Amino acid sequence: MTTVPDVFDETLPHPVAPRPAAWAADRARLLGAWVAAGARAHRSSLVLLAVLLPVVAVVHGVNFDGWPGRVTDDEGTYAAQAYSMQYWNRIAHYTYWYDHPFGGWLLIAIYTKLTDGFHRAATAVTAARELMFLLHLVSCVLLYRLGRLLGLRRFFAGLALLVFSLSPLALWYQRMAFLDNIGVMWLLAAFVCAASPRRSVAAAALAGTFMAFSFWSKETTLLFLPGLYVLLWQHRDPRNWRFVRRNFLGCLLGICGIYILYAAAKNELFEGPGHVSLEWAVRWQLFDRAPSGSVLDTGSDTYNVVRSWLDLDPYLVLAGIAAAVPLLALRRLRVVSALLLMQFGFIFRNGYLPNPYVTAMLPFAALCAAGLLDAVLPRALPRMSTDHGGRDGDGERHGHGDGDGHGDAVRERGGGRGMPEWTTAAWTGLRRGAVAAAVVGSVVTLAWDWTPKIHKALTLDASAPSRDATRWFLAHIHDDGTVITDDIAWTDLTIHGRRPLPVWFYKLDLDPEVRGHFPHGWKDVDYLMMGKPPDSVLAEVPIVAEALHHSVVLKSFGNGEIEIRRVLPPGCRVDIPPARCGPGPDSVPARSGDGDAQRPASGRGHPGAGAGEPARDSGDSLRRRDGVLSPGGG
Amino acid sequence: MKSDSTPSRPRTFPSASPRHPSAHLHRDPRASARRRRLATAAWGVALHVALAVLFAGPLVVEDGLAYVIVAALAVLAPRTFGRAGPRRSPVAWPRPVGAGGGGLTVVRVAGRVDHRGARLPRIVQLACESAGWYVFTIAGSADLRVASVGGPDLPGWLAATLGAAAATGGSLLLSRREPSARAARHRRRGLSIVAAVPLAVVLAMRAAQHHHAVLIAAWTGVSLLMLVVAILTLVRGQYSWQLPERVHHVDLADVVAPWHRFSLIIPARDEPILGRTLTQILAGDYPADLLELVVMVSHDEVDRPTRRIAEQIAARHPNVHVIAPEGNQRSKPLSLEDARRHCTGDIVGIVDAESLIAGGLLSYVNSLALRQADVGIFQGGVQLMNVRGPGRQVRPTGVGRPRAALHRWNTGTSWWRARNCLEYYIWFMSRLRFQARARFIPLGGNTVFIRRSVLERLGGWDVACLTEDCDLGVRASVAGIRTTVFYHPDLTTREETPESLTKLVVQRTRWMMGFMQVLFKGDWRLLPGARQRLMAAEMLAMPFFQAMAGLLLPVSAVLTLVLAAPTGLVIVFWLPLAASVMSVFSEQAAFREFADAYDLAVGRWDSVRLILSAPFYQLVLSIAAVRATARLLRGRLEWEKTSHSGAHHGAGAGAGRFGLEAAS
Repeated sequence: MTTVPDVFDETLPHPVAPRPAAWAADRARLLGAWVAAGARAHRSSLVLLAVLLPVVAVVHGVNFDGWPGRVTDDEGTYAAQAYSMQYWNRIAHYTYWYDHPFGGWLLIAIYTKLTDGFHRAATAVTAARELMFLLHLVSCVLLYRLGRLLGLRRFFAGLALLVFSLSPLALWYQRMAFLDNIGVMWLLAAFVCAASPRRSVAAAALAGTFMAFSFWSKETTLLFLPGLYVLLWQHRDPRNWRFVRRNFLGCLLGICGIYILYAAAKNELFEGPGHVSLEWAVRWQLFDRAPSGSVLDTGSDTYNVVRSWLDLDPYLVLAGIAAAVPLLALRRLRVVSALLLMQFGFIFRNGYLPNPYVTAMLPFAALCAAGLLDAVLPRALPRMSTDHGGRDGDGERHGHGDGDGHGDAVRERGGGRGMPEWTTAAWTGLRRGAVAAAVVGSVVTLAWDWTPKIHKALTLDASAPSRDATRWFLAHIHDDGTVITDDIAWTDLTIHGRRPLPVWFYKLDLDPEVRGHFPHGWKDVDYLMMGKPPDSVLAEVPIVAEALHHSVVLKSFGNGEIEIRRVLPPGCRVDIPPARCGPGPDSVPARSGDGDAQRPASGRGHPGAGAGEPARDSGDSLRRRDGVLSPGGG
Repeated sequence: MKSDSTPSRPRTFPSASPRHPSAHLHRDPRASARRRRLATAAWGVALHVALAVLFAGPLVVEDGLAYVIVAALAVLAPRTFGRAGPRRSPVAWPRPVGAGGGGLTVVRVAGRVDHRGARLPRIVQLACESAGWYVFTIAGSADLRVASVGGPDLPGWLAATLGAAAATGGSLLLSRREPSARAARHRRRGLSIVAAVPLAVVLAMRAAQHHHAVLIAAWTGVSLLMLVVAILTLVRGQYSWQLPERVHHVDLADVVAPWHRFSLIIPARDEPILGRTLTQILAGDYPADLLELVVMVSHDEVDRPTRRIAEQIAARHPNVHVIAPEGNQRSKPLSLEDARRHCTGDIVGIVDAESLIAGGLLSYVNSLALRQADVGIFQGGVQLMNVRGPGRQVRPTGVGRPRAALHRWNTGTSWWRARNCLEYYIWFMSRLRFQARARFIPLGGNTVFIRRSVLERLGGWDVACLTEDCDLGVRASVAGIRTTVFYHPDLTTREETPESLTKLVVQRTRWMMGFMQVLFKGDWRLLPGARQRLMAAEMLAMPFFQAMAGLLLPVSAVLTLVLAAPTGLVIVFWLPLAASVMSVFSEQAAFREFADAYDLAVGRWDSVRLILSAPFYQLVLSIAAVRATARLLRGRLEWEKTSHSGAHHGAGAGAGRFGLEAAS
């Protein structure tokens, strides 16, 4: 080794490779420094979130299983589909027919797999609701961040978070295991990425990815795609906009395209005989689905749905919509307000209005309401101009474009340009007063209106009848009669080893494969466990209606909210177990004779699936070949 | 690795050898070496067990197979991606000539304590691992269970531990003493092969039984690998546009007064255009007394006109030297190596004879070199400019219509020209900047400026390499020398695309062979960081990925339609394609940037054609990759032959040794 030249001495590689421990420590230190720097830059926001999130967590976490009660079967459906994903490696517990992309319940299944949710939580829906609770917390943080990125001051971003979370509407819908909640979280993540102040290609790619995840959770969120794109466009930088745009669209289309690829790989893309298809499902969702009527028609379903929203909370959404109209004039909040108004307009489309539709309106309504206050309240201009770059480190590094975030409120409100000093002062004072009055007024009003509802949400256990019914059924019904249930009970009975598997009442009539297991129609049904469905639903499921008609109530829970019924074919009485009173006189000998002969066939079924399948073979073993009445493998 | 028979070959643990007493180790060297060995062995056992349990548990691979995967990883991964110890004695490499005196890298590395160092031959290691597998199988089987331990999981753990201990212990024992006699080494290899045979038979039988599953699993692996490669290529190709402030990175106004003395090497071979190139360089804004041109021409008949042009210019300009060495075998690296000894400036630059360098280039490099004292190499942009073909040509008389059409398609078409230009743009604007930041860069062969001290330390160019520029970049990265890449339309060196598609394929074949040569030469395994080594492996193996990319679409289609793979895997098969489609769209954005930067009149049709031509261009690259692979395979056989003769002639057959080392 001769002389080492001046400049290269420090750039030479380490002569000895560092030990893994030292390397890891080095990395940990770097990471720690990075986190610390981030925390310093955002410390005010972090403190605010540290105060707000526990409040939100308590309000959403306490009694999350009890209120709302098990008012909709959808919760149970998603839990059941997650269950079948986790344990049966199948996308749905019955034939998957492309009703929704399966990303939503995939997420539930991942959560329950990681936490052993289905065996740990009280009911299957409880496990799914736990995930909703976590998602809500994430959504709150994302909403706050989005508010900050759209130029809201911390106070107003925090205000948006609070109303978004504490509204009884939010409590009602975001506690329930709906796909909308999952979709909205991804949607908010996509918006946060699209408004990222770094304007990096990676942020755009992430925005596209999250938007695609949102689609995978609930396809209706594609409605927000134009808004998201405009937001991305508003926050563009001309130097890399071409790449930003392509990466955004590429990630979005690529990940959404997997859904089509999935259908194509299963040969279920287009309609054909003997299989479900994506094409049919899309057409049904878009065109063929029965509209729920006009919101202006007091007898329609739409009216009732909207009415139920307003009963829960008349303030947040309406205030948001009212605020959205003037906010259209403000560039930085234009996208958010336009999206809210667009959703509002869709209610008047007179198409099918799903119940949780309002879920996706809540974050935008909260942002609009808080955003209007933020826009009206004048900013202390001189102070802002001095420490705009330095102290306000909360992501407000506007390169260009909406760097006017701070000033435009003053400008567009027609502030003091060319007016005498005292006019400006009066105008500023007036605006301050208006905001103060609005804040105080809304706090008082909302406290007065929301407190009893929140109290109810924290204390009332409306899910008890459903839980009790499941418990009673498992404790008292030990024979192997076929039970028709709603999806909420379906998963719980399945988890607890009920065999033959319960049958979801919709599928009895609508799924030909399930239908094939009931050759004698309603006479093959032994038990019913459900609330009484509304007549409109019963009209769709004639066999269930018939079975209901021929049944007697064994036990009723919650004032008939859920009933366990025994179906009595002619010649059968309540005290005879179902195995001994067959569906018809002709099949009785077959039943008594098939016991031993069919045993191997039914026992062979699916050895690996299901936890501890009890060997009850005296029933009609013909009916339990596949995943319909016995657990099916994927 | 075992082809090197010199007895003074550096050992696994230099400190453990009594002939190399380690002065800077305060502890007892033997004890510390033993401790390190044991620590490595313990790591090995722990990794074996953890991976085996991971594969057998959550990843649901069958027990025996799970352990085989681990064993294969244990043989392949550290040998392939682990940092290599010194591979050859420092005096014999790179070449005894030159002022470098052996080269910085090797000296430094030889002095380094590398506890992994030179390893057992792969086959011996494989034998150890298969012994471990036998132990694992016997211990884990229900009939022959050695330890009767309750609980469902414990036997698996235990069996894996026993197997791993056997494998690691075996390799530890064998690596303690390396047989010096050639015959003993051969005997050991033979024994190793015998030991590995039962495992191979079992695996082959299982594979034959489940050939359907094996095929699908293999293609899934390939697809995932290709997906990763495609995503990495996409991300790295967009590096310059990732952040807006990263796009414009050259400040032309920031120019310092000339200070450095440049020596520009201009290798020329039958270049009638040389006069224009030289005149343009001399007419640049850099003062003549700080500029020296070393024009390399050959001393044969072919180069006579070129030589005459150069000599005419040299007669008028005292700072132009024309060098025409004798010798019938001329190549670019050889010319560069010869020219290096005539360079006197403190920055050596390489300019191709046919390229047009920009006016302010030298001033800018001078400023960079003054501002960035810790940077050793400055890589400027090279840009192909003719996005369109020469246009319609008149059909020469006497040529048939189909032949003329073929000729026109070969030379006159412009679809591949646009893509070729674009490739250069992305490579120099974005990809090389990323590589410079990642501290692993295969340099370009044109418009590259190297401090002469760095060049001397690196020992100059490797004359046996087809892509001497890439090789130099790899060795500079190994030595930890920083590189700055700058790209600005006003500073790029402009070139033309190859004249025809066939010439493009020929050129690509040469490049890819060069890359593979550098890959097998293995200098990249001396890179200090594991991430750098992985990146190097991925980049230098790009020809294989290119060849594979040509197969990807048809094979995936066949597997989807014919073999009816499970739905999830079908989706995996098509994912790399989706990533490629995204790359194509990103490239289209880059094309627009390129057109804007150079004020080219490109329209919508150019963009559309660019997108449509992507699969065909990929096909051309795949053909080149296949050609390169085939040629290299033939070439490697030749190298092996030379190495046998080279064993008698001492250190003369460098390339031969590289080839054989790669083969071992």
